[in-house]
Amino acid sequence: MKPIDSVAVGNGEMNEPNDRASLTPAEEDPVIHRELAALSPFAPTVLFEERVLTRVWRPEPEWARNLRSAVRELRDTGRIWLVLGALALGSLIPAAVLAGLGAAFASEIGVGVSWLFEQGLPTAATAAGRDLAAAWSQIETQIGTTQLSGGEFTALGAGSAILLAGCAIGLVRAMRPSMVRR
Amino acid sequence: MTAGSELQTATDQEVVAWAHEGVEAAYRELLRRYERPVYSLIYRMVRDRELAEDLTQETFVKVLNALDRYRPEFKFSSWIFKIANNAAIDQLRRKELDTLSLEGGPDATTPDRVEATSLQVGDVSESPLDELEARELGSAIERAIGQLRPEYRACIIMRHVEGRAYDEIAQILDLPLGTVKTYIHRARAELRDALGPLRE
Repeated sequence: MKPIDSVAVGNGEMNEPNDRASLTPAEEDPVIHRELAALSPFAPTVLFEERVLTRVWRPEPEWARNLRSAVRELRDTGRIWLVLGALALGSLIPAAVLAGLGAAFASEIGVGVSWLFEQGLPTAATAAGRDLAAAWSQIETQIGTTQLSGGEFTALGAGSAILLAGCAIGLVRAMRPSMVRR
Repeated sequence: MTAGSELQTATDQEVVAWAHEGVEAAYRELLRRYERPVYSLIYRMVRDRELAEDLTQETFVKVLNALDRYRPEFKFSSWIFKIANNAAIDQLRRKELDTLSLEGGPDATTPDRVEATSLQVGDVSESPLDELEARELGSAIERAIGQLRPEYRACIIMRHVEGRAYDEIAQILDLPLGTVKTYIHRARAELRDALGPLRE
């Protein structure tokens, strides 16, 4: 049994020195202390935090506030159109570069694309199909040649039943309200 | 961006300051620190799981929406426990009124009138939640705590289960320090009486 003043109280993480109990000798009462110290903390059900947070108003983060005030300032001073125009022009540059590259290497790009659709993709699909068929036939052969004795069948059945029961118990437990123990 | 480990080691006041800046992780940290102590206090006060969860939720919504009114020179824990305790006490008072009304109308002066105005409650079978509550609050010490007067119950839970100092309990419950000491002394005596026969 832990003495009360060595027990982490509350959730044990209050980070303030006088959150910990410091009982005076006059209060010592072993029976009551033992019983009270052994009490478990309880926890609300799962998703409690989310339910609370959906009902809590949170101020905007600082960066969002700064961004909003910067946009407001640009709008109020009329400079927003200048910035939007610069952004639009800026986005034209990469598009123009891509178009130029496309024009310069048009024939090479054409050869590459036609190879991809005429040879590359069909070859890859055929190889994948062949491998898949080989794997499946191996599984079929394995199943066909395996012979289980009566005992093995029983063990397999019992194992499946235990697994099924375990899943059912797990599901029922998961649906119960959570209860946290120290 | 505030690192999670920084938040975990920060004081309550620092976490509240981050929450003021809109850091969601700070709100989660406050919930993580206090959801169990607050829920445990309310649950042991009202002794009903669902109701305790509703009241705990109300407490947190109230506190987290009013963080701008929190004064850092006071302990955050005292503030949240005060709101939680008030919610539990209000609920117990409402329940007391409901119980009285179940036992007959306020103008019922004769036994016939009491019977005529009382509500008839049918047999209610025990739900899985009732069973869970019975298991959680069914130990001798939990039953003994449940039999204490609400103000004694609040004092003894905060002192011995949550480990709060006498002056903090006085601040939380808005009671003089001497009264808190008296309540705890009497509560311990009642617990001793209740638990005594079990140990003989």
